[in-house]
This record gives sequence, structure tokens and C-alpha cells, in this order.
Amino acid sequence: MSSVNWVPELAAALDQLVPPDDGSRANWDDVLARAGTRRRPWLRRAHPRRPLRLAIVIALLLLLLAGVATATYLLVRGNGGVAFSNHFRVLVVNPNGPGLRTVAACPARRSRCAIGAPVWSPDGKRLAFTRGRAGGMTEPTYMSVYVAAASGKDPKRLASCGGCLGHLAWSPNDKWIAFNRDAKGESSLWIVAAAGGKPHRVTTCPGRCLDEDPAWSPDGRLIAFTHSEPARPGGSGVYTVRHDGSALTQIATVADGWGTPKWSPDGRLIVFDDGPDSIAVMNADGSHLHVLVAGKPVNPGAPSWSPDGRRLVYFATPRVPGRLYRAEVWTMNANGRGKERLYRSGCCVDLWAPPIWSPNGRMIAFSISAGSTHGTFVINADGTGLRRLGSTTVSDLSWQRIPKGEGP
Amino acid sequence: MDEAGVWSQIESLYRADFGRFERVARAMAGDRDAALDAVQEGFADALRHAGQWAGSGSLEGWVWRCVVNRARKARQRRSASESPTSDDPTDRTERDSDLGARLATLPERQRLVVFLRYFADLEYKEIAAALEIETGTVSATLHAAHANLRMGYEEASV
Repeated sequence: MSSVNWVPELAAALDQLVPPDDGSRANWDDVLARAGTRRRPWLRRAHPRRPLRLAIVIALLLLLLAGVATATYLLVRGNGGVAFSNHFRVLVVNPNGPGLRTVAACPARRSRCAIGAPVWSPDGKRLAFTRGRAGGMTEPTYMSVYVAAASGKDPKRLASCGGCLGHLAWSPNDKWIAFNRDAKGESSLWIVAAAGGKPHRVTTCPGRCLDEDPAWSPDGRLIAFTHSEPARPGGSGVYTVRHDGSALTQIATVADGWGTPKWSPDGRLIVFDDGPDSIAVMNADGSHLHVLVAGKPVNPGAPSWSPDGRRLVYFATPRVPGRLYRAEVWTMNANGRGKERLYRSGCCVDLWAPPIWSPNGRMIAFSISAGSTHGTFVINADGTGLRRLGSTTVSDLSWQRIPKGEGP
Repeated sequence: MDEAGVWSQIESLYRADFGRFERVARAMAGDRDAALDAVQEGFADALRHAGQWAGSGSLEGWVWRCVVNRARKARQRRSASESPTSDDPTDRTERDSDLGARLATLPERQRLVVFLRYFADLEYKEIAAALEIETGTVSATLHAAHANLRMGYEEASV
């Protein structure tokens, strides 16, 4: 055998010894979970929902505050405070000026500590978030719902929520927090008093279904949420239910994993992700459902009402060659007209957080990592004044006015 | 490049080259589950310590190092817990004519260089970055590995 021919033969023999893998076991979210982080829920767009994936996604969603068991929470006066979490810490920023700072962090990056999903209470005096241990491919996620004062003091564990999928939702009267509990073979909605106490079950979703992303109606009478049930055709969609579990009603049929309903400020309408390619709105009872945007801009999603209910902000992710995407921030009137693109990223978007309105409705915050652009930004609602608040791309944003004297 | 940028590149590397990482890890660790765990943990290590990457060297090489270290540990655990009759293809020392057995008898550096060269298709400089050795050392090590493997291969072919 000549040396010229030997190397290819060795390569062939090695190929037989350790055949190439088909890559089907690749799971980036598991990597993130192991790293103690959380990935944007937007991954749902590109990848079908799976229970494990969702659990990981949620765990990622959680990232936030923590540290020393303290609360973290951002607060800023004037135009309020923006609270968010990155992969390892909780950050606070004053949208009107400098001041991005780390408020808390997981004790050690080596651990699987995860903090995330920060949400201000409606009165801006408290911050709810999730904290716990992110799982992995074979280990479950153990998270809990926490609440802390706006100053970050007095963090209090309210309830365990297992995988804790989706986001938390405060009741309009600041007294209750709705959340998903993903544990013990079910993934249902629960509520717990913000002051502490025994959690109460709202829905029962055992086995092959999932209830998440609760949203209280402005009058506090109903909770809208996303229900996914692949095994029951037509069963997945947007539902409403009373906080005691009664009056469960399906008000829209949506593809599995989509929905994420948002009530209009006056409580008459609900806007939601109507599948991967459209945003729709309907009356609160499900009547008069109509699509607001579909197809163009591409992959619209994550709509959010302006405080006055006249406009919606949403994301779009047009594709560019090579299975990659840009990210765009758009606004439109509540009737779907007057679409306006406020921001377009370079290629290619990787991580991002859905856009949200400032409490006064004049600005919009979003977070993105695309090409050489990374960070959390604010932009005026007319598309001017783009400004970076910090260089960190985060997963969750919450913006609220903070009462004077309540902040850290 | 800030930490978010490093994260982005690490994710891109994972999505593009998972198969190569998994294959090298499988060759090192000896089974699919251990290999998958090594790749996942290796990338998680890279993310956790993204801030420590100096930015001057090869990010891919650095990630390879993370995965290789995890696979090496998996291999060590496996070796410590298994009986000598293991059917691991790279551990069949009783079958000297077997390529896997000959690979298993190579010094670790030679074995790693072979894996990274043939299973990951890395260039010499990338292997050097992954193993923290000089490019010339890679060349010399691969040459030595070839010689050792060829010797056994030709003997078996006689």
C-alpha cells in the first residue's frame, strides 16, 4: 500500500468506525438551559413547540434578578423604569438617561440558576419575577414565582411553578399574579396572592396540553390565555376563564403554540398571534375576529397595545438568503391601517425581545442582537430618536411608572 | 466584540457544525449519549465563559477546546467505571488489527489530532487552537499518528 493511497483509506476506515451524525439531536435551547440562560420565545416561530423545549424556553425567559435573594428591579422616575434580565443578571435602566446597571445576578455562572420574566405591578410598586434552577435535557426545571418591592427589598417566594412557561401577569388591582405551573405531568394556569398565600388552580391541563401566557382583563373579571392541545383538532387557541376556573370559553382557534392574547386598555378587544404569519384582533367574546396584518411584513407577531389603545407595536422577521432573518419593529392603528416601520436591523437577527410601549405611549423599547448590533433600545413612537440603553440583549422587558419614593 | 456578539457566533457555530462536534465527542467519549452530553456541556461552558474569550484567537478553536475538555472528562469517567471487556469501538484493545483498537492505543494528543483532523475537518491551525499547541506540533503529531496507525494497518493487511 503506498503512502499516497493510505490516508484516504484511513479516512474511509475512520468514517466506518465513527459514522457522521445526522445532527437531529442538536438542541440549542438545551445548551442555553445548561448555561443557566433563557432564549427568546420567538424561537417558536422557527421551531415547532415541544414540551421540553418550552420548558427550557421559559426557563430562559426567566433570567432575571437575583443575586442575593434580593429583588431586583428597576426603577426610574419620570418616564418610569425599564426592568429586564439578560442571561446572568438583572438590569435596571432609566430610559431618560444613563444608569444601566446590574442590580442582581445569579450567585455563580457555573450553577444553573435562572432568573427572568420580570413584570412590574400595575401600580409600579412591586416587581414579580421567576427564579430557580434551569433544567437540562434530562433534568426538569424548578422555578418559583417571586415578588419584591420596587426597591428590590423584601423578595418573597410565592409559589413553585416548575417549568413556569410563558410570562407572569398581574391582576389590575395589584393583588394577584397569574402564572403557568409546568410540573407533575401537567401545565396549567394558577394564581397566587401577591401578598402571599396558597396558590389556586385556575385551569386543569393534564398530559398533552398546555395553558400559558395569561392576561387579565382590565376589569379583572377574566383571564385570557393560550391553550395548546395538538391531539384535539381545533382545541388549541385563545381561551378566557374566570380566576376561580369557571366560565372557561374558547374564543379563537389558533395553531398550536400561538396566541399570547393581549387585552386592549378598554377591555373590549383582544389582539393575538394568529399563527406564524398574522396578527388578528377580536372582541373579548371572540366575535368579529379579523386579521390586522398578514404576510407583509413577513412573520409579524408579538403585538402590544399602546396605553391609549389606538396603536399597536409588533415585530416582523423578514427572511434573507441563507435561513437567516432581519428584525423589524412596526406600529399600526388598532384597525390595521397606518402601518409604519420604525426600525430594521441588519443581518442577521439572533436574540431579541418583543417591543413594548412606554407608560406615556411616546416611546417603544425593544432588545435585539443582529449582526454587529447588540443591545436594548428605545425609539420614539414616530420612529425618531433611536437610542441604545445598554449593550446587552435581553429576553424580557417591562416598563412602568414608579411612584416617587418607591424606587431603590 | 461584546459578549452578546460572542454568544451569537457560538450559536451560529453550534447550528452549523453540531454534527462535527458530536462526532469528535463520540469518538472521544465512546458512546452517543456521553457525546451529546459533552457537546451540550461544552457549548454551555463556552457561553458561561464567553466574557473570558480574549477575542484575539480563534473563537471556534476555543469552543472546540471546551467540547474536547468535556469529552475528555466523559471518557475518563467512562474508563473509570467500565470493565475491560467494553465493546467501545475505540477501546477494543484485545483486537490489535482493529482500527479502533489502534486508535485507542495512540497517545492522547495523537488521538485527538486524528479525531479533529478527520472527524471535524479542522485545519492545522484550528487544531492548534483547540488543543492549545503550536501548528508545527499539530503537523508533527499527526505525522506520528499516521505512522503508528499505518504500521498497524499494514501489518493487519499482510
